[in-house]
Amino acid sequence: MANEHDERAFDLHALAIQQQLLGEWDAGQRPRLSVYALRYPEYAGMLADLFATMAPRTQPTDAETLAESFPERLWSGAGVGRALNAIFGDRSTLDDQRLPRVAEERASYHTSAPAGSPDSDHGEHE
Amino acid sequence: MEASETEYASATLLPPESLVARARQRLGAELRALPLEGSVAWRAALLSDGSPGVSFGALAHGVRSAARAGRMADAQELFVALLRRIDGLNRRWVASVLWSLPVAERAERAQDLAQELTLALWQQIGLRDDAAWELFFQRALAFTQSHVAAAYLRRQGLRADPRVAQAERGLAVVFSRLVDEADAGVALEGPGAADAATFARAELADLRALIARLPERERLAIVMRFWQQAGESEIAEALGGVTTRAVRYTLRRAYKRLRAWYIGGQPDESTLVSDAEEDVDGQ
Repeated sequence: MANEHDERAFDLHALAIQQQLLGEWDAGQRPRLSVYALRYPEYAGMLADLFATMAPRTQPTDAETLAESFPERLWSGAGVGRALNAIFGDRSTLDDQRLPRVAEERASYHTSAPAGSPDSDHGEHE
Repeated sequence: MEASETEYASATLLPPESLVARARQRLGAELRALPLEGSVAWRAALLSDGSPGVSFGALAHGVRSAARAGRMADAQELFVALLRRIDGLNRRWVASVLWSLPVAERAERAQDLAQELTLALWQQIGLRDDAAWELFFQRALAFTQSHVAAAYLRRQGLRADPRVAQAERGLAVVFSRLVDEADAGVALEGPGAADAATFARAELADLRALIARLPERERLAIVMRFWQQAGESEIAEALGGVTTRAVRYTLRRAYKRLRAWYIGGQPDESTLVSDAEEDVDGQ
């Protein structure tokens, strides 16, 4: 079942099963977890996890109801822009170099406490 | 003996290798229908906004192909086009990760997450050789989004402890009631208290995090019960043809673990009876 070559590579069989299931779900067929678990027993745990991420029948998804309070477009925003500059800005080779991460670079618009100072408000968010 | 409905429906599902082969055939046909790879017409076809447009997988193939050939201007243009096409998916993902934060924090953190994801996508699509992005793009994207979110929340110290400290929390009461019903041998008829649709958003997020910690069989039984209101027979069949009594014990163990975790403790393992022991006499 698991990919033997590279633990970072995807399990194509798992993705194929997920895509089939979600295709049925999106088509309104509402597949049963029991049916899928019987057919693909080695992926039963993965399938249970996938079903648990789907909204219960009477609830809208979190994302659908909350997307309004987030930026209208991400692809043209500052975050993607920073990433694209890092990827394509000064690159002249295809080396798989380590790219900058958010925690290592302060955003240019950041005006709050300097990096490294503790921020106790981030301990809980519910 | 005739096959049950579940067995019949299960038998109609293709083996995983056939699903992968079918996806390869579909992608291959789509790529063969495009103009010569690397040509101006090929790039135009990939960038076209016409409906229905090329698949995400074909676009990902284009990004990787251009990057490998050293055509970085093309790779960048195609990569940005891909980001634009999946922007709706990414916005919904960002909302699902950051929904519990104060509104004032969301915009900045959304940009941070978008940066992280963009870097991860380039690493995966532009620089690595993994067919998943071409064959099952949306699933590969969902998987990558999940990992990027988990890493970001961990680094930023935003990861919530799924255990609930207060015993008054609603779901602790729910699982206590379910344990009592299981002890009393109440049959699984209808949803009762085991209905995820009745839980608030925060409770559902907690429940998902705790369910992920359950052993596989208990996880399977709980999800079937809470998300699809499956009865004893259906769960028994899915667990490999066990007895309905074994199903009740499996669920009872799961309820006990979840109840213990919700009140901030650890389940008493000595009270969790194994399926094997309880299934000796059958139904």
